[in-house]
Amino acid sequence: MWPRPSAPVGSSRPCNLATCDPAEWGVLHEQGWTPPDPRVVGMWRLEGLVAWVFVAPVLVGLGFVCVLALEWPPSWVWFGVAALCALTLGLFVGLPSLSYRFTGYRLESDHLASAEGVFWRSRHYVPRSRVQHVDVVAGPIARRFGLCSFSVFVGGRTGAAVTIGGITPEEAERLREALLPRPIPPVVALEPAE
Amino acid sequence: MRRLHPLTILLEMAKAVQRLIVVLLFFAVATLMGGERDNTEVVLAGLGLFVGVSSALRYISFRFTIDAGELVVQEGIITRKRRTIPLDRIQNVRLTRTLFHRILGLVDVQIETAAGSGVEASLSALAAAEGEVVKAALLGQALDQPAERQESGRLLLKLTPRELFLAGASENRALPLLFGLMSLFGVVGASGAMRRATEAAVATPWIAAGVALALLLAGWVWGIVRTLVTFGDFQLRLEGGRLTRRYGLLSQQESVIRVQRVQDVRFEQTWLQRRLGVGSLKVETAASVQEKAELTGSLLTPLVESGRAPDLVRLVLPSIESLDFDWRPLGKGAPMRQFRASLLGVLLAGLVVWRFGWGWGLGAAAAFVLVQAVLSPLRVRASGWADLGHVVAWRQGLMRRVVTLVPCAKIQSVKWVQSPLQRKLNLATLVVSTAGSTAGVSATMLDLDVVEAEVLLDALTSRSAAWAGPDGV
Repeated sequence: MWPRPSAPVGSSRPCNLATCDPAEWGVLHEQGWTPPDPRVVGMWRLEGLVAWVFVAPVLVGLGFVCVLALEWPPSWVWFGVAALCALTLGLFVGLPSLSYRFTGYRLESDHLASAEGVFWRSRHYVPRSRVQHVDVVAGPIARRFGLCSFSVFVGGRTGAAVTIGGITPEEAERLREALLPRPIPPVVALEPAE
Repeated sequence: MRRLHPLTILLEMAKAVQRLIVVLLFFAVATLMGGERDNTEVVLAGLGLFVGVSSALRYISFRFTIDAGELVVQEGIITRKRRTIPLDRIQNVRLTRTLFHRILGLVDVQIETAAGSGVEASLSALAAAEGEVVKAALLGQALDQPAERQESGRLLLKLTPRELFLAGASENRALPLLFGLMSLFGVVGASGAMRRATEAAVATPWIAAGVALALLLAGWVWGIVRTLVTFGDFQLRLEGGRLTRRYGLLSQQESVIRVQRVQDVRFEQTWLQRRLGVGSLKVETAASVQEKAELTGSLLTPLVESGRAPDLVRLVLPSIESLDFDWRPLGKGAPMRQFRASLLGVLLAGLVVWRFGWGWGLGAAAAFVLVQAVLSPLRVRASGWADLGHVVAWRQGLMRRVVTLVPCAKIQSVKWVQSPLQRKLNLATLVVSTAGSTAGVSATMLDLDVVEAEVLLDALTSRSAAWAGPDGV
């Protein structure tokens, strides 16, 4: 067994649906979950902005459809579109600092775990002995922030079982070493086929 | 290196014809229409030549051998491919004989490993006798040793036509079929046909009821016939840690799985089967991803008496004495959570009937709420979980009751999820994954008590870590 919070998050005090009870913020990190690199907040914001650049035109396009095709009152439609654009922008920019407090991972003697989600919370556990292969991925935005993500794959499914985003390449390397510690076998000369 | 049977060429051509059936039909129609400058014959001859030559080339280039604990398959003319599969990594060997195979005296041998989805090597086709030899070799015998058609091993189960009839009659597929037809009808005739049908049904209720009954009956009979044909002559044998299923009246299947490779076990009972005291058993191996899409799925047996089921389960999970565990109930808030989650459906029900007028919409919504208020607690009471040490068990389903047994030694990962509503009601969901299921999910344990979920999560994670096999699968 390993150290675990005596009471799971949220079990002792029921909170409202919005879960914006500030008493819960960052509790995860006090319970022994390693937070990702703080730069990840900026990275998520930039990713959100990039996503918003695609979302906003779709909203505006929907507005045109409502006004021209459905002949809804333009003032209402454009007010709604503007409000939605502002709301999505606010979410994309504001949410990362909150979700940072609910994101973490822990490497234990026998397993690796990750936690995420502000409203819909989830934790993924993979025993070390089940790891089939690991991926370290750094996209263009992540590279700009000097970060990368680390994924663990297990048998029988195509997707990653655990993904830890926004950690430094050194940390990813440390995790990789810890999970796949086997020494490189000596090179054996291949015999020619047939 | 060995070759396939020469008649493979014929088989391949038949398969090609099957694949090109649409094109061929198109040409047939074009010929019947009769254009003046008609060169259908030329096109068809070209097509036939192409299919024949490519089939022959495939036969010529395909070689395989089993040697030194490895299956080596070599194929391709332009791009040579050589695939090596270590025999101890084979999860599943399957022999298939369609009616066409049986006429030609052939058999398909398919080999599956835990890698990815689908068949890793397909030896299509061999002579029936050679198929037996190859199967034995894949399972560890020397290739040059003759293998008699295996009737050896302990016969565990043999289903008589009467039992198969019972299996087909009690798996209530008729209802889904009826709903399927009705929804299809609804989609096709969305522009008023549905309304007209409703009006007609209201005007002549006896005829409408008769039609519905006839459809139900047809679906029921279809289910019985299909079960009889698919699983005719069903046999389950155990030999040296391997389970062999053989079944099929027209298209014969034989599949061999290693007991130690089984990832999870399911005992399923429809409400009718519960009353009759029977059920069906399923086992998943890490290779059965593609097989699941097929009709037979990962069925170990389509019918077994409830009393005998633990005996079969014990072959795979030795510690199981009976399937009546000391079930732990879900969390206290579970009925409320499931009721409130279902309220989303009210919106849909209301919207669907909205077109018929507000009265209908409100009525449908109210009826839905009432039904859910009654069903939610019943559904929760039907669910439960049990921690048996080596195995974790999960039961669910009001009508179709499914008991899932997952050995801790096969658990690949565990996921803990909590929605805002679950958090408010002190609930959490555990998702247990093994290598043996399409989406990687063996059991989704919905709405456990949050503290119990935490304890179970701890136990499963540490046991899974401690009991992993050498290759992790």
